[in-house]
Amino acid sequence: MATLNSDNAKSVAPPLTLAGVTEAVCRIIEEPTPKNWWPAFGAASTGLLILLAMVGYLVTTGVGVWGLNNRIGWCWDITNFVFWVGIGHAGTLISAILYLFRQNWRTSINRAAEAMTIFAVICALLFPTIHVGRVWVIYWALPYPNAMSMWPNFRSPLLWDVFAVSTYFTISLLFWFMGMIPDLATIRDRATTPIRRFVYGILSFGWRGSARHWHTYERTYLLLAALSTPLVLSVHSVVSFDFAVSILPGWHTTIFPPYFVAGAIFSGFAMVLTLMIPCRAIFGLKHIMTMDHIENMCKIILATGMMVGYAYGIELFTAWYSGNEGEVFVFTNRLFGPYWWAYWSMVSCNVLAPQIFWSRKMRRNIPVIMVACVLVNVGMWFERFVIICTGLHRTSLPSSWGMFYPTFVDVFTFIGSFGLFFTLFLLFIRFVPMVAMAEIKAVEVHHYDDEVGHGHAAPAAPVAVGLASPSKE
Amino acid sequence: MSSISEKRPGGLEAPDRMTNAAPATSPDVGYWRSLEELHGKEDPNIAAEFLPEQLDPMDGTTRRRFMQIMGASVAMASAVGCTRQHRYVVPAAKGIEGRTIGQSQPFATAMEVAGSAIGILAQSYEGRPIRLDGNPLHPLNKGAVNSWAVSSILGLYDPDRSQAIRYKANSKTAVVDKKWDDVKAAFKSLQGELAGKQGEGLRVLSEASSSITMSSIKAKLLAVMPKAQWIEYEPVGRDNERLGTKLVFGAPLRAHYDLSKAEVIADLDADLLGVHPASLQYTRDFAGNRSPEATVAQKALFNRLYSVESNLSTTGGSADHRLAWRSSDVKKFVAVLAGQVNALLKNQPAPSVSLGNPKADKFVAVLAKDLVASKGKGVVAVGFRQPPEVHAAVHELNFQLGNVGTTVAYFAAPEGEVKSSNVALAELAKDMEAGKVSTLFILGSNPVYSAPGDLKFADALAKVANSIHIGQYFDETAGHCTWHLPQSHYLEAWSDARAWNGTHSIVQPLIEPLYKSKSQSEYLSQFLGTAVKSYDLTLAAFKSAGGTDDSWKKSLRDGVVADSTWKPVTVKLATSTADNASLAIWLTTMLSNDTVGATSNAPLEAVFVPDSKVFDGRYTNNAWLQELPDFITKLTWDNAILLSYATATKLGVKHGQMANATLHGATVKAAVYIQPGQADDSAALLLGYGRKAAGVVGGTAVGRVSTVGFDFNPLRHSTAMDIATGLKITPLNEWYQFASTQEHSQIDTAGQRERDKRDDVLIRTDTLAHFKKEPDAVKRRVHELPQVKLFENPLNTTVTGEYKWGMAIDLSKCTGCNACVVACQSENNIPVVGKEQVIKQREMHWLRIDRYFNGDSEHLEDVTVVHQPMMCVHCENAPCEQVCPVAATVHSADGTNDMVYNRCIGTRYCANNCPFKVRRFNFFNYHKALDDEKNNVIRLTFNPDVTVRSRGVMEKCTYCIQRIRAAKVRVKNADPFGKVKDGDIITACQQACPAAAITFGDLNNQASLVTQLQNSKRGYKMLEDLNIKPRTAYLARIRNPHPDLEATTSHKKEAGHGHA
Repeated sequence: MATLNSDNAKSVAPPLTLAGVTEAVCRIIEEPTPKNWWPAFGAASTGLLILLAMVGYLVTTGVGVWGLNNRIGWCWDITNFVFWVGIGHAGTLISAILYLFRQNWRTSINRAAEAMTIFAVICALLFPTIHVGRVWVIYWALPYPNAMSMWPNFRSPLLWDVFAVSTYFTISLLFWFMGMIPDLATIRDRATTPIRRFVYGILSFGWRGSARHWHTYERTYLLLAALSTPLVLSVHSVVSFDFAVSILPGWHTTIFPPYFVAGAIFSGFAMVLTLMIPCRAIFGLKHIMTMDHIENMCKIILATGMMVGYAYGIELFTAWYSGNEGEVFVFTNRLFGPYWWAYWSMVSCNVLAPQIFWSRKMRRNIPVIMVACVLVNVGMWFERFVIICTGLHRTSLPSSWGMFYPTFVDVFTFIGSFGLFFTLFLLFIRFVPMVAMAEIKAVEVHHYDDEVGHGHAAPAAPVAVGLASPSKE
Repeated sequence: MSSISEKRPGGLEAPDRMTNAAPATSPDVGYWRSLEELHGKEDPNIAAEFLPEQLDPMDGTTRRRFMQIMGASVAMASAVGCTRQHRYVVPAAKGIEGRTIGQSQPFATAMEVAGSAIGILAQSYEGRPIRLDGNPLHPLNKGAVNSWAVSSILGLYDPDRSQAIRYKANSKTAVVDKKWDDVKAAFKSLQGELAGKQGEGLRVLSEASSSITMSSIKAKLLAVMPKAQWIEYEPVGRDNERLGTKLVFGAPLRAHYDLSKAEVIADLDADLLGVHPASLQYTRDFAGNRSPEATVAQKALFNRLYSVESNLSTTGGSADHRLAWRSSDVKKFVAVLAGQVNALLKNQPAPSVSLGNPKADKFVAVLAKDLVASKGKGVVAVGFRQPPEVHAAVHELNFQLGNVGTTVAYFAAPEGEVKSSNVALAELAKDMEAGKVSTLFILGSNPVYSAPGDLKFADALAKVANSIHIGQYFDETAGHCTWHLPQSHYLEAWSDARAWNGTHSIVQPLIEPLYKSKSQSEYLSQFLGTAVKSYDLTLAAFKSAGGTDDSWKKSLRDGVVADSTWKPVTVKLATSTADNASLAIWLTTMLSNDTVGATSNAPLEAVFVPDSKVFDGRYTNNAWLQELPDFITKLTWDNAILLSYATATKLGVKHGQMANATLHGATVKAAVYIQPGQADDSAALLLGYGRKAAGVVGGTAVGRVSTVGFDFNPLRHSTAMDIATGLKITPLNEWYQFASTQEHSQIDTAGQRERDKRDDVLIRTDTLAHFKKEPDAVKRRVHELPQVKLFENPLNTTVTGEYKWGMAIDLSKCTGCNACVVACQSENNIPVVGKEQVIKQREMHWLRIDRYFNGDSEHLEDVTVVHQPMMCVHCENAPCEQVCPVAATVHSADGTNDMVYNRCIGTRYCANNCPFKVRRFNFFNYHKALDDEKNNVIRLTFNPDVTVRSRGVMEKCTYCIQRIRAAKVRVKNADPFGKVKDGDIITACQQACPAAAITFGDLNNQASLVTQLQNSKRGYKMLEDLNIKPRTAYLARIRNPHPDLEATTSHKKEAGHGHA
């Protein structure tokens, strides 16, 4: 961390060149695997193996290996699901909404953020999949024609979830991959071994960088951005319907959709920063992912953190104002009941911790940012835990009040999901351009006279001007 | 498909069309058949080459010839068929006359517990009993059952039952399996040896038995071997009652109460509605007079129940007034009560004797007044654990109050003048120790476990040369005996038994012995040298008691021997006996002090309470009973030392803490459970646990299965079997985890406050007096939310089936006896999950009984209790249905909320969204243990009409949908246009309920009982404000407190006060 501190000294990044960008980004993939990649990958893949072991144990034995019970039918499983879905949101927001709003600073982080989205959604999808009692018939939740003429229940928010999250995953994947094609072509062109050339050749879909290619690319990119934008709002809204549509006090709340979306963006940005800050230090991308970018993200965290804090407050107010005794009790219980520690952890991490970003100095202080972002991630996990667990553990009939006690399988499945996430992420930074080179060149590089001579990357820039001056579109 | 079917018909014409296609372009030519024709000329080749006669033979042959050839072909083909002979295949299905395969058939039988029987109707399916219901013709239980009877079916199929004859020469040798021939040889030599000595040295230790078969064998044995002794021992004995009647009436009698005529019932540590052998009748009679509507409309009797007891019993929980009172001080209470009643009867001023507690003083004064006011219509009952003098005083009290002959009846005690079982057992142990016993038969009893600790029965048993244990299990006693002979289950062998009121039943077997077992009677008759089958023994005993072949058949069919219920005997006070004089002295002594009450530094008393589930330990290996939540502690798989909060605080011990209980020099380490309602300075020690050789359910000392709970028998003393003072509790720095189905964890203040607030709405109670004034007060307990309609709720009209099934549960009647819970488990193949899973709150019971306490934290001993049976209420607007992604829980046309197990993928969303939390999820394959070959036999208990659920699916109460469907089929078969009538469908819980608290029926039928009950002023539905429209309604609990006592025992306001 100490080395990261050096950032503070120079707030102005060195000027970027086309060749410099290409070199800086491609180097990460082309150079031999850095030594510190292996321990990270070792740790992550161990986590993944733990996850596989836990899932295997779960599927062969039963959902009972978790701490769930007949009062609390969901706890860590769905908490983790919502947590991971939320993490994913930042990627889409950065790549789609900030794109439409012409926030050019996004280009340095959008690729990694989108990758994060996809991996987070994979982690997220895992949990609802394995949380069902009979995972081998989970396809019954899909509307497919069958001999029984049996359709899923379209009234169920869980079904909406299936559509929402799978659509989200598909679009995000397409968006991410599509945006990567020019960069993959760059790597292909720089490839020195036949295997690399072949693999990246396949992946780059025959990209030649012609004007027509660029035109189509830009159009598609815009379209996908436009498609993704509502998804940012819809996915987490639909996820929140899992709770909002129920009749449980504490779940049955109209504020949930915007509250969930704000929380998702909040946690997503925190996660992006948690990942990007080490990456830019390790892979020497500080001149591409600059302090300004980080500062911008801190501002978003502050803003969304305030929204989340507002939601916490308005929830309490609504409960009190409604005069509904069940509602009032759920919140009294959240604040002062047996799970008070979870609630106050949530408030401290999500509302108090981001307040530090009011200070510009702190917004540019890497250790502070790292601590705050980790806290936000912890807090957002607790938020989902608080909603789900305290919503269920004391429902209408006091005879059925209970507590949730996680088992080691709960804990290790959650830890293992980080293993899955980081394994994918480490593979991503090792094999795929971590920064959207073409986009960076289009919006950040202004040294067109720099003679580079790298076949296809350079012509990209003039065409990509469309990105930089989108008002023509 | 479509393209093929279009081509097919066209295909026939295709060649024509093809050939037509091109030439058809010439417009001047009409239809044509060949090119030649088209071209306008005959084909010369055809004409020359193929003359008509030389064409295909079929061509010329005209239609007639064709038909001939065709006919011949068909004839030939048919001729082949003609050669086959008709042989009929016969399906393997076999019918038995008068029976429909797939339908169970009832057989009447009876189950005896501790010398008292209840009538059973066993459902036999394809030759195996699958379910035990109450026998409606039995006058004692009239179709109702208790949890012991229902779950005895599981005892039948228990794979842990003893399956082999075992022999162990002495304590140092190993146990070996023996053959029946070995037993015969051993019996022969033993019998010869003993008969020569006139049976000297022979003892038979039997469990209590009311069977005339057994008594005839006993008579035969004693005739051959007059010096032998036959001892009956019950760990929970009821001898004191008989000894009490001897004191006061001069004859050993058995008291029986008619609660249906009782206005005031005083239950003094008697637990009439709980462990009493006639509790099913008492519960029915008690609950029968708890219908406030009938009281208001027809001036029907509404009884008032007073309870004085140390441990909160089923009866205490149902009482209108309950005094938490040390069991050892009940004698003082009785003395004071007797004094006050006497004074009132004689119009004298009440003696100024205080119980040392103003609350108790007021209680006893009001009770005395109430009893006197309802002379001849009251019952005073005292419990088995109270000494004979107290029984005598109470018998006398009933006599003076004129209750005898109206509400209290006496029968001649069937056992006659025998020693108390604890005295007899102590003598036996002494004789064994002294070497006076050479041969000991132990019939069904398990004294090594259940004998009081001071007798050191196992050590004494080692001194007996030939000890023969006949029992269903290779239990603690069997392990210490030389011989162990497997005993048949009561559903496997013939016998007979009498109920508490004398009603005689033949115990009819339903199945051949599953293992190589015989009945006690068969073993003993073999021993006596007359190898006779249990059937013949039972029939012979029946005939010797005056039965005929005809009455035998009728008795078997009905399950009761006609007119066998005892007639009450007339009693009069035996004023002149010496015993009676001592009673008078006792009473005078008791009353001679100004204060007879307990002082605050009274030594801690120990009360040994038979467990409501496993009784004295005989049902310890029954998994249904082990997992049944105790009616008051809600403990499963455990017992404990129950202490009041104040006493525990005084002793410095906390809930769940381990403590050493020391009494009579013995120490038992056990966990403490703090029980509201428990009397101060009184520890209830629940019997029946800590078995060391019960089986894989109840625990074994060796092997993987640890013992379940704690064994308090070592603390008992043969002279103080049930109550002892001087118990010492030493807290240990160890903690114990209980598996309780309610209050899984200690509750915080905020939760406690909320719970108290909600209880008022969920559990609605009112007093009879207030109910008479404002009958609908209970309905007004919740603030009616204004029903603002934005649109017509489609749910109001969508449920329009022919039937509308619904249920009504009367909280005024429910005593929380748990019979329904086990009946539901038996009917619906509900798995047992084990203690560990219950701790994880995964119990599977579809029907649970929620227990609510009412009372303030300052007077935790004065709580009132309400039981609320809770199962799926089949909401019309079911929240579970709309959230299931795969539509696995849906509405039937009748409006029941059905689970489609096959479709369920197990998201548990339905359970989360269920406000009643009645849905149960199969977190594991809870039936997995049954795959084991050893346990396979348990599958025979399964109800074939109900799916056995696998892991990963949700389940819940179905309103016994299989019974609904069966009834509809039955009705439709009888009359295609017939309708199911009220009472045609009885759910399993309803069938079992001795209090008739559960009613099921069609809500579309305005005349049905359930509709009337639901529409009654007391009817309310749970969580109505959620607009879920439950089909089950609850009827408010109406208490009948005495106006003078109301303030002291009710700390919370009753219905209507807040909102009227």
